[in-house]
Amino acid sequence: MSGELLGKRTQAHLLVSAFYAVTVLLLIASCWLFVSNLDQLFPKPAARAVAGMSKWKTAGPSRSEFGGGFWRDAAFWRSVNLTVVTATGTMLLAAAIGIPAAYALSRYRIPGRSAIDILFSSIIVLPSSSIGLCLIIMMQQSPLFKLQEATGLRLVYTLPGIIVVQLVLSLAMGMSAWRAAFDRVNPRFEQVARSLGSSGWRAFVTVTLPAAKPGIIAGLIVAWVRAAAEFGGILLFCGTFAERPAGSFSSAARLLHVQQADPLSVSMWAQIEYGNVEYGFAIGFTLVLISAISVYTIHKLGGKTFVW
Amino acid sequence: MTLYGNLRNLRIFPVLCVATVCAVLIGYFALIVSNAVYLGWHDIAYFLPRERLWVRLWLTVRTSTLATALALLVGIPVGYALSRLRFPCRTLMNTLIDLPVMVPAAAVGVFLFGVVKSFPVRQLSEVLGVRLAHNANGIVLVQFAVTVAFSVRLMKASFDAVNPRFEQVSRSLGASLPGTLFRVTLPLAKNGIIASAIVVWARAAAEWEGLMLFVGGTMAKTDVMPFSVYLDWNGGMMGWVVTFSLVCVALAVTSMAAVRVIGGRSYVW
Repeated sequence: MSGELLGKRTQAHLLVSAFYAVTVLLLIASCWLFVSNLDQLFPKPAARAVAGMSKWKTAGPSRSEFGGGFWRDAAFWRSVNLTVVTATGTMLLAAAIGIPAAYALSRYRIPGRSAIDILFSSIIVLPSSSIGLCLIIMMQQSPLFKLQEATGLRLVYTLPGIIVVQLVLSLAMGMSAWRAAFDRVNPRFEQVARSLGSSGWRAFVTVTLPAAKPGIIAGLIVAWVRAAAEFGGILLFCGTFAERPAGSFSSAARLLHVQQADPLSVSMWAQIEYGNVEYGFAIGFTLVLISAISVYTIHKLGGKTFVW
Repeated sequence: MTLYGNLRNLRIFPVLCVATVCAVLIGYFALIVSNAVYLGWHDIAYFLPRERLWVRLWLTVRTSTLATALALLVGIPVGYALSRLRFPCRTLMNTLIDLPVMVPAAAVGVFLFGVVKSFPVRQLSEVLGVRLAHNANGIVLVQFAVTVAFSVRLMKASFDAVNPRFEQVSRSLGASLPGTLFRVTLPLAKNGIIASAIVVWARAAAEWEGLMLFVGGTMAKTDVMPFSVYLDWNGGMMGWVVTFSLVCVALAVTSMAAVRVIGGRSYVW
């Protein structure tokens, strides 16, 4: 009897330890993914040796310095600027559209809900190359093209186009987060507020929004990070900007210091393709830092899991 | 009076909310159908039976299925552990696990260089004779790296949905922990696990950004469906580009519809 009990306990012990072990292994692998690349930031001896031989003396990254000397490169800071400006713009737009829409989806009985769910969730698993291509076709081959001509606001291969691409995914992910946040607020509080005489708008602002606040902020962060991490869609829909003549940028772009710069993710890809490996990895680590801070904040706020 | 009050106070806000839903729906719907409308039936019928498409589709299905299997192999135990067991520094740990999802996939692909050329992976791949570079193995590695965190999150949510009371009852009636796991927890979480597996598969099949730097595109060897959209776009073959993109959209919509039918929630918080 006691032997059997002991056997069971050992079994349980083994299983639990195995689960702990797999989790710890995944954690280590997750760290190792980033830590194992730190040596890429330091220039190789061969790069140092040929550093002076280059015929082109540009102000860009040098291959014989830590991280390509990224902090001295003005283009790097313009990239950071562009990423922050576009991601913030996208987040604000996504919030303006997404929060009311998420509220409606969470509270009202809208016909065809499962079709709507399928549509929204398939946007999240759509490849970014597909999103970029669909946007090009939508903007160039539909009445929207005439609208762009008429208003003079071109979207394809321009800086505002970046926000359009980012919005597709950010809105879908933000909406799923905001909807979940509204779902968690008991509609009874709102009904009480309504029965006490406040309007739908007032009940929303004074009761539902404060109650759903952590979830809404987490959704804002998700929208911001996803916008900052967008890469493939921008490559197809907007191309790169770094090589374009300075005159082709509007004065607004120059005022914001975002001219002749790519978003960080595109810039990282371009620099590594050019062969500026140290510089590219420096940009990559910048992106990791941005994401790490955001994810940490989301977990601090919500403490719950989310899926995007 | 109350009717007037109702009209004045209640109508504008809901109408505004529903209008935004409609606007978002129209936008997304236009996005999804734009490929099919642009290409037209004749061209779809022309491109769909071509072998060039099926080679790439088969490659995508093969690699993403393998990557999903690997991601589930890690995701189920870790999801269970995160859902049921105690850990120190939860926030820091969750952040570390979630990080590969929030970092751009292109960056994850780049960072895989360091993993592949360093201690355990390099020796393992040499011993096993599996080359992890510009081939299908590299694709699987990238897809696995991008989806594993995703799968852990989804699995944790599936296990969270199972009431731990059932497990406690089973344990108190004398079942062992493995017995409880296999006969109570896993069957109860079955739908969630299948639904999550489909989501992970769809995400793996949509992965291409990480492939750009780590694997690169070799025609008919490493260009999975979304990657060939980009490659053929650069090659200027618009018909093929739109066809590939159409298939990607079809894969995404079909898998999400399957998730919906199985009954997994499309979002988890």
